[in-house]
Amino acid sequence: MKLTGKALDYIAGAYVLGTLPLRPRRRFESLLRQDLTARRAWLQWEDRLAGLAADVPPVRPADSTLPAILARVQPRSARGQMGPRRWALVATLVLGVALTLLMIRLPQLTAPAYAAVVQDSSGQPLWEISATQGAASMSVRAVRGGVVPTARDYELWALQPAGAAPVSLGLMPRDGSAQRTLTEVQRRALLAASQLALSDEPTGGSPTGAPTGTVLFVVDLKRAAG
Amino acid sequence: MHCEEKWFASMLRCPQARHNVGAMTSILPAPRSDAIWDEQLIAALRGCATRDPDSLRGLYDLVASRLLGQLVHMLGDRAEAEDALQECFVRIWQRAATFSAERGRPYTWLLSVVRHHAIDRLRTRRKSLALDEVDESLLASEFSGAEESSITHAALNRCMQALTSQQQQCLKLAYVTGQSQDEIAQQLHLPLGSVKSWIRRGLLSLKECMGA
Repeated sequence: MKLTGKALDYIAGAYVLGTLPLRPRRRFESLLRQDLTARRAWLQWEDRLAGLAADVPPVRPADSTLPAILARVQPRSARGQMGPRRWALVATLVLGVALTLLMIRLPQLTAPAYAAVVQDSSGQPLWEISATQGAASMSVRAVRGGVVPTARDYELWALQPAGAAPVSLGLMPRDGSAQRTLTEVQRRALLAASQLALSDEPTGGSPTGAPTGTVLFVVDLKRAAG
Repeated sequence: MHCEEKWFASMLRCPQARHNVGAMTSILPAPRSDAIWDEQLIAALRGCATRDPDSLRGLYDLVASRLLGQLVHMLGDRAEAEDALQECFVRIWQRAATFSAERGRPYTWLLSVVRHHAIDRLRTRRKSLALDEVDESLLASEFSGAEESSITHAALNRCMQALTSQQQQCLKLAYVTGQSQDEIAQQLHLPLGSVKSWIRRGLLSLKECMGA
């Protein structure tokens, strides 16, 4: 679908306004994933119309809302309010599991394999990303070609914890699969990351070593089972 | 007084009106040029991008009431709005790394996350609504390119006032309440075709006025 000019202006404006019916709304969201012109038109409308909400009166949230949000984004810390007896039980269990693993000498005590899927807004996969045990190598498969605009490249980044700069994991293939061996820096970055990001970059990738264009996707990096 | 007769005055009195959208002369306050506010939001978003929960708390303190106000206004249900607020903050946490201060104001980005989530909830409630064939046909149209510009609330205020009163009312109702064109037409007791036309012309006039 190609959408430009007045048609794009109207559709993007109606999308931001909220008057686009459900099916066109989903189609436009899908377009936003692939078309920078559409994305630019959308962002312009978000800017244009934001002032319309300026006089909506604020409403104080319930006291329980923030703790509920924190529990959802940090489930482990939210469960951290445990007494000493429960901590002792957990420690015993952890120690028991660790000893069991050592005794049966599992061959894979190193880092497990990693996987991530980049999807469009309708949940259709665009790329599948996987890394081997220990993240020595990585594979990226373009499920659907034609997503990356001509004269642009999408670059993959490992988002780092604690404010460290993201580390480039290379360019996304336009179609087919790409297999690459990771450098030590990339390997460590991938093992430390819980999320990956795709940014829109000039052909050949970011000229600065950091994302320079719009971050188009952020996906969770999951440990593959087994 | 019938809602059709004096569209603006009646909107505020009309029993079918879910929301009082206020007088058009006062709905667009002076542009918020608080650079410190922007800096605080940007710092909090950057902290969220690095998975710092204190940054999320700070962001929540700064904007949760405003965002919840928007959700209550759109969803019309306090409990659902609180639930939606939780979902939106989880999304903001997950997507904070995608925010780029060079491409827009942070509150605009936060508001877009919240509004589109509310619109999705509203549209999911009303899945049975017929698709708008005019909108569908426009998806395949071909015209020339779009331009980039820096937009202020003052420009919005000026350009909104240049629209017809009907266009202003329809755009404001749609944006602030999240109502569909059908619902706006029903609320105002006006033909659906007129509402669609005012919204379309209003949007294109706004683009023409603000886009350059």
